[in-house]
Amino acid sequence: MESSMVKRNTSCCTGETRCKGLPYLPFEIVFEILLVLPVESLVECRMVCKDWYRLIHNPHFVDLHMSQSISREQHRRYVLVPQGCSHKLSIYSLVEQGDNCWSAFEEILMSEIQVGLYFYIFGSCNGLLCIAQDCVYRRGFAFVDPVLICNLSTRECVKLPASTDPLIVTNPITRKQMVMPKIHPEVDLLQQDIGFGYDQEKALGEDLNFLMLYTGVIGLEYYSWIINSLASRSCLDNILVFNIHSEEFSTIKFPPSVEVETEENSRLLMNFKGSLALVEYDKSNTRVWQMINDNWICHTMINLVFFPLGTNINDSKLWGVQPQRGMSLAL
Amino acid sequence: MKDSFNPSIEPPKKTVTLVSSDGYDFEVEEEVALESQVIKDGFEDKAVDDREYLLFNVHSDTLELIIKYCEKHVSSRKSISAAAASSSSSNGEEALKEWDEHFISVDTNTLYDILMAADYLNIKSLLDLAIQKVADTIHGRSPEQIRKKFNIENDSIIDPWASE
Repeated sequence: MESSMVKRNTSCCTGETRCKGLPYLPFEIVFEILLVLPVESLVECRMVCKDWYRLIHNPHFVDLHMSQSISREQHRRYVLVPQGCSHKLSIYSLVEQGDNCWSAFEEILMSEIQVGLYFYIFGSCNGLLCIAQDCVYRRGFAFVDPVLICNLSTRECVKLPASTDPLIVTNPITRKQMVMPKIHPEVDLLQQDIGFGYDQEKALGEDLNFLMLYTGVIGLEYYSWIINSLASRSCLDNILVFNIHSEEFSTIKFPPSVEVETEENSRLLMNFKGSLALVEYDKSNTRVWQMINDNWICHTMINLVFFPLGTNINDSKLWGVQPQRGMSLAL
Repeated sequence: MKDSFNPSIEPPKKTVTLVSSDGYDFEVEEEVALESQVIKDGFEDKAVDDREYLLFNVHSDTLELIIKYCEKHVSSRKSISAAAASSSSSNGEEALKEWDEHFISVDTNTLYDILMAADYLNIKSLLDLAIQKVADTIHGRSPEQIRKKFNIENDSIIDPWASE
């Protein structure tokens, strides 16, 4: 069983091949070592030397590390607590101790995040959090300012320009994070840009001029907004759709019977049963239109006073409020 | 030609010779050597009487450890599958994990050597074990402590945040 060891008389090869330190290890091994480390360690590791810094910031590394951590680690949860007058935000991370028991939270101090008491979490993806301050009104537009993209694990924070409806999404193929929309009405009311990532912008195109977008909804493959038809001058289509895969814009019309918005009726975009849905409601009816194979299908119609609010977690049911009956889970 | 096949005689355990970089011969059982993917890949191409591998990158001290690791894993696998076949309870997996833990608790230089050898010989489980060990050592240390521990030169005098 035991191996036997014999010294050769005619040594075929000599020379010490002994490693002197981590920097002498092949790049692939260092890559693998850093890959198994938790984010907290990587934050320290990138300060060790320039090679490590470059490696840790390499998009391929980031991507691999993220997919490995997702499969390995338990999900993290954070609690955000505004610190009143100081405009600072304390972040507590919760650690799951099994059996739905959360404990041992530590405070993360992020001095870069400065928001007031009223802030919103506009969304998150891949561990990035989009936080924004309460609305401010400028030239008739509701803005959120500032918009912050925070990485709670690395404790980094990026401030973005004011936006009317920030949302953070990921391109599932390129894994590029996108933040949208970013609107510059100060420059020209008719020119609106949508921001990608932290510094790229994509113009909407010449034939797409409109004043205002609202009730944005994000689906698996698209991001869409209703174009405010009251304010629209030249655009006849009613919904702006951004395809996350192709990163292209297109417009679609409302279902033929949906009327121009008035004081009496409203509409809302949402994800419903796996596709884009338009909920149209007034004082007596609620209709849910679903986009199936590029056609609007009237999914449900109820003769009730019902104010839709959103959908449940897997978009299979519609939440709403019925006067006198309170919150209900309908449809 | 006298070596005609004779089924009545128990064939001797097939062995392979591994030669370390400093010229030591290690005679190991075939299945132990085959733990290395590199040896396994080239195994069929080699003539039966010439199963000798020159491992230019592996020092005898390291090779001895590597062989010890492979022997342990081959024998553990056998006993674990034997226990499973007889459906008797066994804590073989746990015991092997403990053994691994003890095996990899070596000084930093030996750990580098094991890493290099496991990478060179492509022994996946050993490579993973050594990588995890280095990662555990890094975890919880400050950049300065990491540099000191792993002999890394500090070239980040300029603020790395500003350089990119």
